[in-house]
Amino acid sequence: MSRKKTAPAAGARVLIGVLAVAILAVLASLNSYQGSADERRQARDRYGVESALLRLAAASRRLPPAGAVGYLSDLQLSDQAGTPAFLAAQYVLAPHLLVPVDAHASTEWAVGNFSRPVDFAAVGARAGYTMVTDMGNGVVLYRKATP
Amino acid sequence: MTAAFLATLPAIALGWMAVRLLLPAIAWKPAWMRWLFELSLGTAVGLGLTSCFCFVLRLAGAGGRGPVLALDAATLAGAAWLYVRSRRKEGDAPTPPGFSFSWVLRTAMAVALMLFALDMNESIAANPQGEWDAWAIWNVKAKFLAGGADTWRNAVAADAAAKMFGASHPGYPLLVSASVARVWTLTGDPSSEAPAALGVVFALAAAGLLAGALALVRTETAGLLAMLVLVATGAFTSQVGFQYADIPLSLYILATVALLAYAPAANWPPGLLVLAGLCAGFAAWTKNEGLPFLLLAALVVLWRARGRRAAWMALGAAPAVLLVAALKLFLAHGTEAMFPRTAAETAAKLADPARWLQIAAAFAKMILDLGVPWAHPVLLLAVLAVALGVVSKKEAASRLWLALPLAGLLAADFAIYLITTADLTWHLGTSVNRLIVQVWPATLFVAFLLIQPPASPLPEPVAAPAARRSDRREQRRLKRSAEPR
Repeated sequence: MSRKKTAPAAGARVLIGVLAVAILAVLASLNSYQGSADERRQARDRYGVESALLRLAAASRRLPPAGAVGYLSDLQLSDQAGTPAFLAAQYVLAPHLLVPVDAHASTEWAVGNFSRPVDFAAVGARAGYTMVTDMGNGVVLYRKATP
Repeated sequence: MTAAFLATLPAIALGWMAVRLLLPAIAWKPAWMRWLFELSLGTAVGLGLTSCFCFVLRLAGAGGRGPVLALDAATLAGAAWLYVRSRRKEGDAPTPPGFSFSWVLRTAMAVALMLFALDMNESIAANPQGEWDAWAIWNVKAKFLAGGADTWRNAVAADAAAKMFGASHPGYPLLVSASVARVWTLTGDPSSEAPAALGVVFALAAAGLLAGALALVRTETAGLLAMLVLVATGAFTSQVGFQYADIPLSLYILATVALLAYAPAANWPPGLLVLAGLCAGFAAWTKNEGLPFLLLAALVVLWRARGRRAAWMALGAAPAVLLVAALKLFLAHGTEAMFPRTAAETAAKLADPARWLQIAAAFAKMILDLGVPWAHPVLLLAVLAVALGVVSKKEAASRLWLALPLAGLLAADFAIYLITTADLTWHLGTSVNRLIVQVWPATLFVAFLLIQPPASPLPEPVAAPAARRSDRREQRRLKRSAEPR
């Protein structure tokens, strides 16, 4: 009924409206795709997760299958760089629970995640750990020092 | 990524059969839209169910590949047996009044979906591990869950993420994390491909369900137009590569609203209400925002359908609600640190007009940021409303109740911002843009219920020859009657 009664002007309005929306929607999808393609070209591992995957993979393989693991770093957890560094390390080392090493730390194993060269053994010793392996790229594996 | 997609197939098959079993037999055309609707809804239901199975198996200490596969096979076999026994048959539906230029919309949809697929591919390639919350919250929880009997409790541990504010969320619902963990358990490969693949599946299911559900309650062209507006929504498409839980939540919210939209016409059938309850429950099992949505949707059903019928929805929601309750009350340790501790602190925040203004401005910006200005989805809706017209006030009043749970959810979000103890600028900046994504597909669905579906501006192509044939028959009859006997 509505088809028969549609006046030519109303019909043209429907057609123009629908076509305009279809064309604009396709163009918006193209625009979105181009934006993502640009982002891919400029991709630069904003939070260091890809880098953490490469750096910490070997340490992850050396850890026992379960249990919490201590975390030592030269970056403070509350720092702008320290927070993503810790969370990225947690992501890579999961399902181990990563626990920042402090006076109460009781984990058998610990991982060092350093942004610059320091005396890794001394850092571990201050926290009660002995260095097991320097795995390169600022990654160090520690084990609780036996009394 | 192929293995990850394949690992979702048993879940989708299970969900599809659940949908076929629970939905009343609906005769509709075109058939491909029915498939789109059932497969999209089946994806939502199947992924929700299997995430619950995965978590329950983990709780029971049997979360390995064998038990997961065995439960998948047993539930699939059971659903298939029930489906065969049901001997369900859909009658033929009359061909609904069409739109002569539907082929243009189908072509546009195909092109837009292809661009959407390319867009998702580029986003995932640019950011394989997803955005911050993906690797800091959702996927790290998935690794804990997939790790085995000794590690799954880390997903609900108070000291996860070093108790950092904004990163440690022991009580966050686990639908997405458990789905990722299930795929990792099945494939044996905890790579970033599983969460990325699931993100794609959830997004495509949302788009497909929007089109299919509108084809069910309106017309195919309304469904096609809605899908086009959805893929033109940059705020939605950009979220797919993030691997967050907001698009899965949007799928469950849309599924609930779409099923409730069809319910009155079908006289509130129990199976449909169970499905709506399942989806609303899965919304609560996906994100905390799903809890107020579930409550609001249940209240709306209680109001519209009353009494025993609403109990069917509660029955559907029960499995996910029980899991959420178990998670929040017994399993998760620690609480969210973003709520005030005293009534006085709450009152002070509520009485601060600057907070109201700041939040209102952020909400307005969230709507502005939905898409590019020249193809903003609200602009596209306005163009369609002018071109096609809107439904009568009476019809609008009979459909607007579907928007209540959506508006209520946004109001609840607003209230959370009012009382948050986090820095308000930080809290709004890190989350407000995702709130609209959660309700956007369902909002589009309701909007398209208020816009008239397009009617053919030109005569249907099939009508002309038929008219000519009838004209010829009439001419022959007149000729015969005029001939001398």
